[in-house]
Amino acid sequence: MPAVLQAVLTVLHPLNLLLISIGVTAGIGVGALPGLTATMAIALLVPFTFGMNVVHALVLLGGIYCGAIYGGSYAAILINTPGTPAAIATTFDGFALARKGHAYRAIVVATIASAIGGLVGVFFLLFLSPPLARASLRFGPPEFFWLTVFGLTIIATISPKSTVKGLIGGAVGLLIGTIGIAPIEGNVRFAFGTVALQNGITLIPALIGLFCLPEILDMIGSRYHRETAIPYRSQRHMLRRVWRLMARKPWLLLRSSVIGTVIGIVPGAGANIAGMVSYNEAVRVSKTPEKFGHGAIDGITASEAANNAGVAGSLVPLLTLGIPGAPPAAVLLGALLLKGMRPGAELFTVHAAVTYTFMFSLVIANIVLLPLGLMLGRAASKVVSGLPITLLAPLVFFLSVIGSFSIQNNVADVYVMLALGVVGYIGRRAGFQPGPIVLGLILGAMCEQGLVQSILMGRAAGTPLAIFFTRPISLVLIALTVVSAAWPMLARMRQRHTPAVAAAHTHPIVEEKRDA
Amino acid sequence: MDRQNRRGRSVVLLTVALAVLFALIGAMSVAAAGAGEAQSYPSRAVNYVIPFDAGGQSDITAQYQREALERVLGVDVVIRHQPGAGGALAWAALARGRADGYTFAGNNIPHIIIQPLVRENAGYQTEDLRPVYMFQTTPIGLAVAANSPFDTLEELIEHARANPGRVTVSGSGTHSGHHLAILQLQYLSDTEFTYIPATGAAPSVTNFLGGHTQAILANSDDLVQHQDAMKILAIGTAERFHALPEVPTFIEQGYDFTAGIDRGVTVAKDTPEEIVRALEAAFDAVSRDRALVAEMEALGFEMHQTGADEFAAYIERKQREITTVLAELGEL
Amino acid sequence: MRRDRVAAAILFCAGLFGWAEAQRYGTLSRLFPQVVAVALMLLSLILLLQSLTAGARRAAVAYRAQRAAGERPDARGVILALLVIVAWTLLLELLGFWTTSVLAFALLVYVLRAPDQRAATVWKTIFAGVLLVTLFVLLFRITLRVPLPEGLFW
Repeated sequence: MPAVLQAVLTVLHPLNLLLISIGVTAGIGVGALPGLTATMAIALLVPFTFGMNVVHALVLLGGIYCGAIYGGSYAAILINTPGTPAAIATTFDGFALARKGHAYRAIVVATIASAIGGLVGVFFLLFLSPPLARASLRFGPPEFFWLTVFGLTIIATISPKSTVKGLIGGAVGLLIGTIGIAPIEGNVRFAFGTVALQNGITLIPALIGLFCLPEILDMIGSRYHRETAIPYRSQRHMLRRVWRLMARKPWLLLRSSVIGTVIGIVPGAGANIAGMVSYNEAVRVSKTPEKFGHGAIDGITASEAANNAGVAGSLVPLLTLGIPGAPPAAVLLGALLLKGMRPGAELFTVHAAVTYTFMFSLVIANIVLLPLGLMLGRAASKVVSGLPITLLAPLVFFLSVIGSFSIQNNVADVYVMLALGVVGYIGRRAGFQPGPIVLGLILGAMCEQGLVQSILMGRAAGTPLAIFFTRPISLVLIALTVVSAAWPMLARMRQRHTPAVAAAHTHPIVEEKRDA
Repeated sequence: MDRQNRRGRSVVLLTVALAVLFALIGAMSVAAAGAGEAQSYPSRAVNYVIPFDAGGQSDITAQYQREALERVLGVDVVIRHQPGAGGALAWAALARGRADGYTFAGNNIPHIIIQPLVRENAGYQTEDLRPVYMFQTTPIGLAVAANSPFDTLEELIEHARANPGRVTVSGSGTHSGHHLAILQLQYLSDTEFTYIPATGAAPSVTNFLGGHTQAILANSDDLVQHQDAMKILAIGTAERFHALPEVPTFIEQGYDFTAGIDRGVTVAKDTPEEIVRALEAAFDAVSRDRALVAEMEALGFEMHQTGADEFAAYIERKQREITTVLAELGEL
Repeated sequence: MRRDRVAAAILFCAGLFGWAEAQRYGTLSRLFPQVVAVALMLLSLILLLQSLTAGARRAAVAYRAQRAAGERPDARGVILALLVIVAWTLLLELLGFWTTSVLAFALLVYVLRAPDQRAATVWKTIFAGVLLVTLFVLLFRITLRVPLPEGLFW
């Protein structure tokens, strides 16, 4: 264990502590701006780390990764736009809370949840990497197919007002996801002869378009009724109060963190859906599911604990097998190789000191995230609530443009952002929410890939369909899917049997659901 | 109220005027830079476009080259990523853009040849680009799991011949180098495999390591990295591959083809000859840097020093070869 | 509700179009999009049926009453802003990133200003906007070396 001890000492070196803090701060900044993602932050900074020694470079990049995923919650809470795809589920309750004047409270919840989620994730990374990484390999094409089908059942949870509209949104997202080159035969689909669409719809511009542009247009449309995007109410002893509330539900925190880690480990699933899966489970287990979507701090906790736990999760297969669990991890892989470090067994033998230093630096990153996040979060919520809409709206749109463009250095992405933004605005006025559409878009490519690869595997084995139903992990996922899909109905039945509860909550959602 | 409105308008006019002024200054500085161009290339930062994702092999290679390249060229080298459509997006942009040598892109064979062949409109033709230098090849090898019953290529082929379509082979995508390799192997050995394309090299390796396919076509660096978990049956080089000397080539075993991803750089077709030569010289100097070559070879790459003319001839030859194979296999 | 019926009709057509368009592709390329397209068509039919039920009619009445009583969005402002935004992105490559952004920013602030807003406030907002745009462009261009479109100017 001398390598481990040495690693702890290295991490605690003032220079490394400083680099971690710089990384976390920079990451929060990048993540908080809509359109600038963790992947981009790391990719843009890799050249800067070229001249650094390997430890300094890695602790800096690790800090940026943690900070960026957490920073995504700021934009989600303050302007209803996930700063990174991982923060989609944070918008549901975070923005609702901000609208009521509690933006900073929402950020405090997100900060505590992120720090704890991150620490739980690193715990798994430190102690359980090899067995978890091996288990993640059991995920083949059929498992991915069922995982995405399970993921799609989340739509029912995140569209409480109208399940049908949610499902339609999901289908539209899936269909948009098929634009571009088909995974197996290489057919170019729905491109209508244009070169730009052959590449398909990139997630980030679509995400910004669907979430951000409608929000900007809404701000503009209502600017005579409210001066600023969100009101701001300051409250004393926020940290203590929020912590007391959160400490009442330790299981929620722990469960969300574990879900986040596990989803993060599965290569390709990544942190993008970890938050949503965790949110779904939180709603399902909750005794007061009708409060979600109206500013429940449990919703923010579930989403943020999971997405930051997913950071460490995505590093499990990266460090042990050399397989990145998420796009930012793929860029980190490049950075490792540049430093002459091959992920795999060698990392834990030849380069053990460096590897453990990197892992411990993530512990520190998640700890410094707490004070830094509280400070920056307070500033961010004050600034955003202080900006007049006449400045905020153009500024957010400017950031959307710069973000959509620089994700691939492609102007076509800006047009995609704009087009989907208009579609999203019209859709929103007709009662279609962006969440399900983006979920469909995220899961679509993975779902189809799993489906057609499984069919090919099945054909080769001579039993085309059996492959979907005979593998153990698949069976578990099928069971989860059935339970998750049937849950809203079960919950409604349960509610009918206890009329007292139903009568106590005469929320408009409950009303509309019955009408439907 | 009216007066304020008018003042508001004058404020906007003032800003517009200021903006135009700044823009003119900006434009003049760009024009000045343009005038300097003809005298000595390069006189400002150059863009090195990677047509694939950050963190991939092309990206890593470019990151390695950047420092040495900056030393040789004497200006900043900015690496930017423009992934999409199997590289076609970046190449289309390059072909349409300014042919001044300040933007050059990675040139990956076979991608750069296949895209315009299999697509109605890839946005460019292979001839729209001028190859500058080829510095590297990643040979493609065929492997099975360490616990597989097959020990040699011959055994695997025998089995595949007896059971057409039953052997699954993982690879990095449709119309990729791996796809081409399996098509060539099927054609030369008269067998039929089930090729299972993934969305890139990493997911393909994951599929194989998880036991979801029986065999894999993988790039040499992935083979080197995961060699303990697999038996490598053949490699697509002409001679034995330095990093895996005990692995026989396809040619040795009677299947006359090589398979690999060749990497180089390319510029727009109309780039002035002296600029192409300057860039060629710069890459030549970088590719002869011993330390750099050693580092790249350790990662499982094969390094080359192939100049513009030879490279162009090579692309032409490859183009004919690939067209023939694809046509005979009904992929066109 | 009427808007639901319109939405259902549009989405049904989109599904039908997707299904027909995919008919040209290979078996494995069209499987997934066609399944999704059929699902989309079925779901829009369900939406259509839902919008015809008595409950939906009641909800529509309630919605209309709510809208009449509540704040109406400023449609003119939204459309004007959208026009500026579209022009902004279309001119991006032609004029250059910084130039377009500064012009559009100023224009947008001007379009969005309240009728009783003082000129000094508008001036300050525009100034702050131009400053922020310039800062970001410099950050991207120079520090992060992201090649933003240069166009005719900068």
